[in-house]
Amino acid sequence: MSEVTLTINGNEVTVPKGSTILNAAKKLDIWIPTLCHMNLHGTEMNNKPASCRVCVVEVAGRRSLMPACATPVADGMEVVTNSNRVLQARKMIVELLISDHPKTCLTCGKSGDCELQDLAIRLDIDSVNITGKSQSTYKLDSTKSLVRDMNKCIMCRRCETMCNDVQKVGALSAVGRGFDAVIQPAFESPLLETRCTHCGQCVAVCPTGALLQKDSTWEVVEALADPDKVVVVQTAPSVRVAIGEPFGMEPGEAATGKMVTALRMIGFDYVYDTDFTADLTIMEEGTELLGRLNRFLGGDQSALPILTSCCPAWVNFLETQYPDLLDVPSTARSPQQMFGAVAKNFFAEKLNIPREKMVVVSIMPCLAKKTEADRPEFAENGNPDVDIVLSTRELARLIKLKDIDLKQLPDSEFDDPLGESTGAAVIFGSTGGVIEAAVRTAYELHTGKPLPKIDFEELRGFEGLRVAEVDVDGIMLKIAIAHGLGNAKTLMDEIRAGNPRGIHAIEVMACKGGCIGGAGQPYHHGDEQILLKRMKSIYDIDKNMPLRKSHENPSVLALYRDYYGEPGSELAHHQLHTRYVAQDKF
Amino acid sequence: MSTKEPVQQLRIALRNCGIVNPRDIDDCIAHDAYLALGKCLTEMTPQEVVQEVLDSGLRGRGGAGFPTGKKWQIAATYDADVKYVVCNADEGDPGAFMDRSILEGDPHSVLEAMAICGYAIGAHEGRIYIRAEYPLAVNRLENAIAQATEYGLLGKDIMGTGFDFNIEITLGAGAFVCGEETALLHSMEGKRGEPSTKPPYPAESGFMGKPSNVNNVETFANIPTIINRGAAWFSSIGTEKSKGTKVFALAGKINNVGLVEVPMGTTLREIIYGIGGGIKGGKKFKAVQTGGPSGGCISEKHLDLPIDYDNLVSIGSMMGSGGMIIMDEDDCMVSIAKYYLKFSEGESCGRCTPCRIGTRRISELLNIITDGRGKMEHIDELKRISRTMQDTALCALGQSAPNPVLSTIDTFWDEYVAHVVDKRCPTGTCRKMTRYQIDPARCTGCSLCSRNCPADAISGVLRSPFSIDQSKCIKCGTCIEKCNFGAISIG
Amino acid sequence: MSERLNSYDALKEKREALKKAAEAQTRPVEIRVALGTCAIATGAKEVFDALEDALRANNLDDVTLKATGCMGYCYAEPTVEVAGIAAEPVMFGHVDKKIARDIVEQYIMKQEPVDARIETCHVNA
Repeated sequence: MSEVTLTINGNEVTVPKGSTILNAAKKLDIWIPTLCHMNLHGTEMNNKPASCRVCVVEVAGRRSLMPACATPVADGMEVVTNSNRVLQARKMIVELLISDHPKTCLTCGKSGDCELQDLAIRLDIDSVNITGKSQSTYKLDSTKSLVRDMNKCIMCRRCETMCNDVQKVGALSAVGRGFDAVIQPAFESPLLETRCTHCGQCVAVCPTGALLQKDSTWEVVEALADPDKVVVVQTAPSVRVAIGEPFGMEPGEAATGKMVTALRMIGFDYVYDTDFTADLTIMEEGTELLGRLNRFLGGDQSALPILTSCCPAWVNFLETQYPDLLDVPSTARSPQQMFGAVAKNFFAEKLNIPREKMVVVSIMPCLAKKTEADRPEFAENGNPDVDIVLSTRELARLIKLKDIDLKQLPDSEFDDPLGESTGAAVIFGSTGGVIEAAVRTAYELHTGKPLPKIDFEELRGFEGLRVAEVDVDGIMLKIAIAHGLGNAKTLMDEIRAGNPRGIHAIEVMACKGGCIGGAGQPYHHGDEQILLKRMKSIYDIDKNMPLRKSHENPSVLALYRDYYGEPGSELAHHQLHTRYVAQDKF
Repeated sequence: MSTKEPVQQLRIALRNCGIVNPRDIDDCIAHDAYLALGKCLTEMTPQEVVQEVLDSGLRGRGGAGFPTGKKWQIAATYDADVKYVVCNADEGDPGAFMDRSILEGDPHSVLEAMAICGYAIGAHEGRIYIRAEYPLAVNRLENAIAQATEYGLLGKDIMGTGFDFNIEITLGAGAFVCGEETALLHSMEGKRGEPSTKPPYPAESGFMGKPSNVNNVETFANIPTIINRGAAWFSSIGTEKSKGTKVFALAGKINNVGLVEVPMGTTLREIIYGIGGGIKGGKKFKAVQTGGPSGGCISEKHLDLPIDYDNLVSIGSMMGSGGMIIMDEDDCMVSIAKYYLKFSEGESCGRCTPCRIGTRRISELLNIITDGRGKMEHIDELKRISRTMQDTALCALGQSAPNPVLSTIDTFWDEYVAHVVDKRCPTGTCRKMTRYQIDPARCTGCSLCSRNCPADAISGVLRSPFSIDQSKCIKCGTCIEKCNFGAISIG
Repeated sequence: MSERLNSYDALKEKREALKKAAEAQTRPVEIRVALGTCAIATGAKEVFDALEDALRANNLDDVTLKATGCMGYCYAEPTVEVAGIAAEPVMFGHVDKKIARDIVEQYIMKQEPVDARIETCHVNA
């Protein structure tokens, strides 16, 4: 028997065997509150500890209430989701949670996006009738990317599942017992001392304000208010397909032009595009790929595989967990850092101002970018190439602070010259995009022939680990793509074990779906459809671009002509490449 | 053996404890060790073994009382390359030590039973999860495993039958919750010792994701006798739904503290006044606590109830693993509830909301009441939180943690009222509520109390009644001891 | 004892042989000392040693002295049970070194009562 028929609140429903009561209720459009549960279908993120007990329902014949999220359906099961017994139990559970939760919603960074707050509203909780007053008191722990306030932790374990089972970073796990149970790094050390990659996926799934981004919104306001500063902004490829969401636009609805208009209204002096340096990255990385490919074809087995290096959480992961493989990744800096270098060197010179007078702000889908911008190698005399990194969420907040309704705005264009880009750049925002962009360029530069077909469908998709072969004029390039650090780990273990499959190039993105699923994006609250819509939008933008290969970007070509000479030149190496350092952390 | 006592213990699980030398396998073989295993392997099919255990009516002795044969039957239906028989030796109830006694006194009976279970369900691997605080039991188990393996009674090709069964020991860190079978299995796997929702039951997905059958030590210890003497014999002992015997650890205010094994259906009165020899110091019986932190307090009115799984549940307690703590008139029932809640609060794994926060909140409320700050609303709140925990907690620990509270509220309501309304602890146990008072009619003004008071709380003029400054009094009781005239009392 | 019991019959034969050997003793007297964790904590090891010394001093090498597990009479620990003198085994409680000696020299050697006897109330299946 592969199907099961049961009744929920008197309504009959038939679902596949193995479904949970929650699945069956969804089919009937019956809402059951959940808090700890999170299942991002199509990814490894399936958190089902059944620990919050908010989803309890009555099942005929069972003595106690059952968690809908974890109880499998059975034939003839009679479920009631809204009895008074259920309502009272749920209310008491949320009251208990709130009794150990700081009542600081007014000043909490998660207010308005908080699932506990939503639940309290939905369950009509207007007071907490619990006498006991003791509260969890944990030290605030913050890095350049994240802030952990474990007093707000409700032990849903989503971050633990994400960090251990999905990302396989292993920085966070439950410690302590009873009331003192909490999620902490080993030895309750600060995150900075752990192998945390700052990918921020814990923040992306946290239902409350226990895990938040380090907010820099007001730093930007301060820079904009300073008349002596020239404030330059860059926006990452995936921001444009997500920034509309907080303004009521459909998930995935591209808002590139509106975003540019908003940034200008906010007062940025130059509104530029990280896509420009994504194209530049392809020129550098693609050249490196070709060089290493030629060495490989010449018999140097160690020349390949090559790894992409534009994801900062991935770089942190490599440096902490694969210190023996640091010569594998491309030395090309990420687009964010290339932009910073171009802006603070080439562009500052062009404006004839010292780099100190320029403030480079980047809008990123990512929290690891905040830590990346802070790396000492990306600064000159203490002046960083990128001064402030805002997440997509922070940009939305900044736009709202300025009383701007993004949805209503007309479109406008990025400024020149660092605003021009190709379709190859925008697909950096999705898993598979960077390597596809690199292949488009490498193919034409290597063969000297135009691509027969620009779209490499075989490199796209949502599957966590994909391997595809691409025919570069007779050379079969074996390309592996991983998104989610856990999948990357599987690949890296394979490389460490001698690369038995003979993979030539690897793209890794730390977050599910790539940057469109970055931890700085508007919260998906467990709906993977949002990620898929953003992804589709990215490829739609690419399809409609007049230029779709990085080496055809006129402004990039001009930059080489006027400034860097050629890809891989000494100046390019100095400003656009980096090196990796092993990080000995636990 | 004496026959003077009207109540007799019948020792099945403890049959060899105190008789055999647990370190000497020959002595154990002389007392029938491994006879049942040999019989199973040579004369019975696995199905017949399961049927025998089913027919015996044996129920799990670890607490919940699930039919053991049923558990084996289910475990036998799952096919896998590896299956496990797990012995739960994570005894953790305060005051309970029957499993330790069995493992120390007759380890071979447990090893033999595990092998029988393995044969019955098709498993070749056994694991004993035992707390590291039981070093002697661990040592005797290790010794017993080595001897039995040498004799070919464990390991490869047992008694030449071709059946292999290997047993390993895993040490636990002594967390109470690890007695819950899913938590136990997680702990054995090296993970955080916390329970997970069932299903999947261990029979389907247990240790290392493999089908596993988990039974408690005492449950296993019954098996060889069931096989040797037959299910019919075993099921002739006990009540309709609870067969055989149960080991209880008698503790508290009772004369003959000890380990007793009685047929199911024996009354509490027979145990306490017969075997137990009555209350210490001739005091008045007040309550008996069964089932440990998961159980409840039973008052005098239920003393004649025959003890079995279902009867204990019907009066708000439970069998649990068999701790039986007797309380007399000097025990404050609110404090008793507080003690158990404090235990559950400390042993909660912290996974589910109702247990993690509920145990803390209940503890706080009980503190408020025993501190003399209680209101009637607090008792209502205790009940509300307790019921939610019973209804929603993830595992048996959380679901049953409020039992001591609810059962004492139910049975000893007057004591709660005295604490809350009269601000008085009837037994004088709750120190914050006690007031030491000098009866002016009896006080001779000798000043002895005043001179001995460590807190300088007593003052007065010689030869006239003294008085106690309540704000200074630390309620140490020295004055009462010193007074030669019985003038000082606790009110 | 490194023999392997290669069949069920071998086990049964072994069991019979062990039982016969015990019965064949000239004086099948057995002293059992509860030596569980709890008993050890009340001094049962000393009692065991005292019994051993008393047996040796009186050349009673035909009496079996056995360390067993808990006998269940915790209130009377250390407990010692003697089988083979009376019709049924007799248990002694709160045994100390002196009582241990008395058990050997009075009860076993002279069949005279020793004060420390406690009532038991169990049968073994």
